Amino acid sequence: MIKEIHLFGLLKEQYGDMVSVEVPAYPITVEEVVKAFRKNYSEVNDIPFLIAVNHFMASDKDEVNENDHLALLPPVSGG
Amino acid sequence: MKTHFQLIDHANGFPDLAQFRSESSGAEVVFNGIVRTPNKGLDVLYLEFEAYEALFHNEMKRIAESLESQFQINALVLHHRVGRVLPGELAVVAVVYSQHRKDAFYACEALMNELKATVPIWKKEFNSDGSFWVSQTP
Repeated sequence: MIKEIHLFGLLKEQYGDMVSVEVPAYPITVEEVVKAFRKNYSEVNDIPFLIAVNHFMASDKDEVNENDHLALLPPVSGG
Repeated sequence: MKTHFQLIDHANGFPDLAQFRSESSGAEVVFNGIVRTPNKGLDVLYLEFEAYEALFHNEMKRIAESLESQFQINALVLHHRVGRVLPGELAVVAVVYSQHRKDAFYACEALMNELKATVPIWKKEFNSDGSFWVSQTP
């Protein structure tokens, strides 16, 4: 199954606003989505990033369903 | 506690702080973050800020609730620029209103620390040697 992931910062600059990754059947965990992303985009494997689900920060074990909005967040640098 | 969080897309877009003052607030602590040059020996031409707006508001709400549990706060304000910001221009304004100065000072510092740690804003520095994404956390 295909899941779209929104990107920001340096990830957006490198890959565009959004990418699609192949994921197993839903529900899956945040950790599995990140794993799928890193498999396809190994150039950024050394960058730590967080993930947001439906516009809230998520943790590795949080569940992701088909219609959830996902975003990958590279290191923040506000201020 | 009153809150006001806003992303600002031009240099003159910062709201007037007078609207957040009240008779019950004896202290108003303001932190103005300004784009600085030089940085690490290089002339900064400008910074480019990008934000994830929906998450920005949700994270700011979470931070405000956390700070309210630690400090006496009457109002909390955070305004942050997005887009291109030139040296000498404001990038961020953080303001805390409290009955007394001690809580206002500490809460304002904590607010800035939280902003830099978790709020989804990214900046790219353009300087005399090229450009790079500034990386703070995680």
